[in-house]
Amino acid sequence: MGDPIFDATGLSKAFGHIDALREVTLSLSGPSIIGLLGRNAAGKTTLLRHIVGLQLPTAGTARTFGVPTRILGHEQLAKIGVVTQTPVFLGWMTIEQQLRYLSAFYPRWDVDREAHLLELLELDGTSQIKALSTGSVQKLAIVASLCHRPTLLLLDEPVSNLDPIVRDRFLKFLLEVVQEDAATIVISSHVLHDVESVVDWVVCLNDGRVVENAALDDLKERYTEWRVAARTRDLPAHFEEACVAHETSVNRRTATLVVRAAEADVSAFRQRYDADVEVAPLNLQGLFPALVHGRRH
Amino acid sequence: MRPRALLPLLARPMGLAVAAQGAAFLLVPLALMTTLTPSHPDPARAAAAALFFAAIQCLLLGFFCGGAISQAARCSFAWTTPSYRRRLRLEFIAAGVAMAAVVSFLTTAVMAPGVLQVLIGLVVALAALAAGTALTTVPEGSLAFLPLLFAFLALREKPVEWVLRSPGLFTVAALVVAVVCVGAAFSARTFRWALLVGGPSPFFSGTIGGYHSWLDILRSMPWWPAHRGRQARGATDRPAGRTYADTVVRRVLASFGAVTPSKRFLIATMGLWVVAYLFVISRVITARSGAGALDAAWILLPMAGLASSVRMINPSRAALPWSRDEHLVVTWVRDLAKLLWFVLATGPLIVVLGWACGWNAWDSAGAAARAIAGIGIVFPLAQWSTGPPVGGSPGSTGALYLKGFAFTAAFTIAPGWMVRVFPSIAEAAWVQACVLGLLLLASQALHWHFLKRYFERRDLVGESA
Repeated sequence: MGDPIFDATGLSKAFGHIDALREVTLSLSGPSIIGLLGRNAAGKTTLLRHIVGLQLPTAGTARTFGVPTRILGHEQLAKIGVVTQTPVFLGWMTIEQQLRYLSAFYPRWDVDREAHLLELLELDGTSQIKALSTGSVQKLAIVASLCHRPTLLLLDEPVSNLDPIVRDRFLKFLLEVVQEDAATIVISSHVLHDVESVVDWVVCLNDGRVVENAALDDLKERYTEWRVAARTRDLPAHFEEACVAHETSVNRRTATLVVRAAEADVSAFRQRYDADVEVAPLNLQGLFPALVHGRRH
Repeated sequence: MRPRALLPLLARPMGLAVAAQGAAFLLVPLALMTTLTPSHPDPARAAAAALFFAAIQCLLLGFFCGGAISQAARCSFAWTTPSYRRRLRLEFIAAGVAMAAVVSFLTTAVMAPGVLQVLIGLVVALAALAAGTALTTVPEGSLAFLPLLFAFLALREKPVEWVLRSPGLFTVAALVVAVVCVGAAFSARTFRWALLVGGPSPFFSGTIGGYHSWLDILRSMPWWPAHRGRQARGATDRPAGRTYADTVVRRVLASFGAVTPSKRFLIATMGLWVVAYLFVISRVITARSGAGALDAAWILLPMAGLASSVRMINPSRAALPWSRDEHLVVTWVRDLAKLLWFVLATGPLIVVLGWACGWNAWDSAGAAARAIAGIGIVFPLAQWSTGPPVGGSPGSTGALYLKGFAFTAAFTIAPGWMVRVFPSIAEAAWVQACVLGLLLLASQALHWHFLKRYFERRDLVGESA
């Protein structure tokens, strides 16, 4: 990865007595697609808002394109595209009017890409925005965020309201964007199955802290899934092994565990519990619980 | 292509309708004044009228500009679109100077011809335009609106005296106000707040404080019944031992919405509102004895009525599992509670102040009472002017605009008609009381009738978005 597009040092944000971000030190580089993961209220949206300077740190520093986010200017903003969780537009405009209104502010607005996206996402440019469904407004936000060919694209739950067909098309298009524009895409989502198909890097937040920041492939190598089946005696209610990062399910006869591969000794485990252990690769959905609260050592 | 930020926001049907109303509001009185003004008017009075008129016009224009800017500021793109705020500010200044110039020129040309008057009028108009915009965009605008309005009314001809005494200083002060207001309206702080607070609110509600703020303050108090009644929210079945009336009351209280602790500081608004109210009324009454009561009623009652009657948009209510009959009863009782709140807030104040100022003419007391009743009679109209009873989408913008205009006109005309015309129709006090009582009952009955028709026929879910 090249120079950091966003870097934060000791970034903290407090809302009264609630700490939304706690001493986050993070550097995002590209081109890549970064999955920003975390449970509800983990601080994902707050972090994205800090990247564009919409919210300012209570402590620490945040820089986007090397510029403190407090003073982001025309040059930096022209390189950023944003899709918020609940996009809002001027309801009395049509889609076409809204896009024309926005396009004038950008030094380069790709009308071909606009037409392509409208077709891809099945949007009718003559529709009035206030008559659109929630999903269509989200599609419009996606179009508006991509037509100026941003090099940093921030997507906050962009697929939550899209149907599976459009969602699939959109995610494939993101891969094209990374290749064509050398863009860095930060995508925050709870739809892990879909995100997994595009992200190559994962930043995981929990309770305002960065608990994981690694390549997805590395994570998949680091963690593995054990499907345990008891042979003679019952399995314990909990497993004490340090390598067990998360117990996905445990009952007397079977268990599914997420384990740290480097620390795991499957033979010793089989012997100790007199159980069969099937080792399987993990997907992001399976990894997620271990990432957010699987820090048991 | 050169970006256009502000003009597309203003040049739309709503904007044209406001412009048409503004033009009518400006040109008709001007035409009347040209015919009524004596050939050698008092220059000070003419200047006073011109300044007052220009400022009012531009303040209203500022409200509209501010509403449009505020709506755009709350859109997702407002923060991240490059140079968006800067373009808005530049276009506002350019358009503002042009609008202020036209208003100032027309006004002063008719009432107080002279280059100096036009120039001073221009600066004052610009300051008023910027102030109106700032009041509807800056977070603290809703707090400052009413106190400033009262101060504006209380000062009356004072600014004119200041202008005549030291025009240079006054012009500089107005310029400073304009610069500060423009700076605040387009500041990063204002735009951050707008985007983080939520989506755009309808033009006719939410931007101007008053009753909404009062209620926010009151319901944030620990002693406010909504706290205790919150358990009742959403309940369809009446718990054992609770009467039907009790359930309706609880639902009415709950329908006013959730408590927002962050708005507790808004208590200051209510205090300022009442203090300003007391100040203005006492000033007017003491200054002009009996006739002042009429002035007070005419000026203040429509304003208080407007502030008290605007419907609170609370879309979540529509999602509650209430039957249509329950919606009907709760909505009607809630609207009635708002009317009683208005009467209780205004009636005693006028009586006490009148008594304190040595105002013992029962005719004048009767005038105030009739003015209050006049507002009370048109009060239900307000419930339909800002959207359907369950809140949410009010239908077409044009219809909303017309309703809002009709309602504002009714509120402005009602007290005056009641004070001036009604006594000539019914002279005896007991006849007046009976007629007004019957009219109040009739207006409530009509309101009930229309609510019933509404809740019988409309798709409630579709309007909750």
